[in-house]
Amino acid sequence: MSKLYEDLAAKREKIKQMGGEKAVAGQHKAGKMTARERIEYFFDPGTFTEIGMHIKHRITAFGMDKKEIPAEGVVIGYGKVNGKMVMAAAEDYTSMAGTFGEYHGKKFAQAIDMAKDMGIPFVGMNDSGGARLQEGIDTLQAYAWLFKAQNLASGIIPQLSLLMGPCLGGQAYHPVMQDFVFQCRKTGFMGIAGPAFVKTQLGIDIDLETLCGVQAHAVKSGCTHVVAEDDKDCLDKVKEMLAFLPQNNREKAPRIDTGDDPYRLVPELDGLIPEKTMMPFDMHEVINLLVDNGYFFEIAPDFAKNIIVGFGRFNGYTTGIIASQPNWMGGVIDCNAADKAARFIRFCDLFNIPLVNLHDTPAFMIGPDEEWKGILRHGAKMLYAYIDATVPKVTVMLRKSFAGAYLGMCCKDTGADLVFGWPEATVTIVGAETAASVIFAKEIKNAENPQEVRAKRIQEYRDLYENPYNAAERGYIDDVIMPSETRSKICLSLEMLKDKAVARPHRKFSNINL
Amino acid sequence: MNITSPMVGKLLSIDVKVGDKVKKNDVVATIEAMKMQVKVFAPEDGEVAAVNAAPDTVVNPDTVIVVLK
Repeated sequence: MSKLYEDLAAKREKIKQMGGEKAVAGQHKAGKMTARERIEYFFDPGTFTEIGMHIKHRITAFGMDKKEIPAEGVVIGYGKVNGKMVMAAAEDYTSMAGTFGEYHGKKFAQAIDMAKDMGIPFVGMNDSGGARLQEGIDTLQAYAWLFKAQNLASGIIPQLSLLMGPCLGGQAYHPVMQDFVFQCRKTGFMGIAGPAFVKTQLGIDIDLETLCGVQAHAVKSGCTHVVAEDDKDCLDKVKEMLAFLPQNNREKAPRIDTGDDPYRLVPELDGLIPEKTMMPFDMHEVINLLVDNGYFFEIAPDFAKNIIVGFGRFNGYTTGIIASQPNWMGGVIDCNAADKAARFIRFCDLFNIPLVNLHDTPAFMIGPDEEWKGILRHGAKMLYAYIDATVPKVTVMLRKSFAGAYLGMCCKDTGADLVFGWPEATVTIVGAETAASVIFAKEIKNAENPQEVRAKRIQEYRDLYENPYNAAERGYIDDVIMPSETRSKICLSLEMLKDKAVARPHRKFSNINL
Repeated sequence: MNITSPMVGKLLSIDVKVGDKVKKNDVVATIEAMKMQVKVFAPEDGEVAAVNAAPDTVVNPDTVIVVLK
């Protein structure tokens, strides 16, 4: 019998060596951990259970019959993270550059299928040289298994993707189609095509980092949600995010004891907003003062900075926060901001995470640039997302909430369960200057002293509508509150709304403007 | 390094002059758009090499307002 046991030990040992000493040294030299080191660091000690370690490819063409690829270049298994079960796949760049072939893909897809059926989050660690071209159509088919698996799991379990190495070509749809993409600053790259292909097809000279690095995706394209400094930082941030999330869409979002008094007043908020309505301020200050212990996990902080989205806790409950950022473009909602907010709202709705919406926005962005980019169909995503969402929604109007943006940031009748207004709030269809110059155009034009009449009419409009009380009189604002009371009001509202149930007739889904 | 406006608007003021040293996130200009004063921030540390736009003109997202070196 001992021979059998020795054989097993030898096989295991060989596979765990991955691509061998030289390849592992190369991986370290590139500033990366190996797939197995990442797994070891990620899971609670002693809880990781590998599956499919002995799986081999079946290709014989181009000398592949003699090629041994330990674990098919991807380590798959489950274990506990923060004490809760998680399924993971870690691509092994040291084994034939982690190339994606038939069985590599099959392992990946089966892991996601299993995570979906068991209702546990899936975490994919991407580090691959791309498609394994020797396998032809079998490789292509494996991509289909992967995309199908993650699509069918979408909305059932949270799926997080970690770009720790390259992920180029059609394979890059894999990270993007998951819920959140984490990208390592120096080593993570994602793109529909790398520099070589861009050069041969388009004649453009561009390096990998400029084309596919963090500037490309965390700042310009908005595909990346969280930037990490290195592998360890990346895995730490994933653990941090998982602590906010339920295991699946049948669970409520988790509550933890944060030790922060939910009913405490926040006097720093009184007078925080500049008196002059034209002056910007940093909405991060408000968010940090409102959430438990000032702890806010921001999503895509460097993309579409005019809107802030992320996770925080109120009375220990995970909450999704969507806030205008007057400090960037005046908090106006443009195409990118609408896309960023809408996808986050839908994620929260899928996973039973209540929403808190903080308004200080003058409008959806107007003018030829945004009109032609399609602000109408992009802005519509926010309206759809908020109205579709059945999770508890609490809105606070801090200052400006005008026109379409009033609706797009979630007002009473686009889905907010409770709406609070600060005394500074100006909630109306249009600014007083514009309104007066339209309504009283004739009167102003024909007046003996047009400037005086204009100023008087503007003031009248302002007194009537640029305040929170007009909306409160109609019930569109449930209460006008002191800024310092906001945290307490939000916490109590979420407590009241936590078992909210909404019944709607069946349909496949709404036809959101994608 | 060219600094452009984040959005269309009327340039209210240039808040630096040629030769000024600026740090990342320092305000270099202010525009007015959508009922708001919108600050234009330096994307990185540098020295102001040129000022290319004048107050009271309309700046577009591709208008270079300030050049840093």
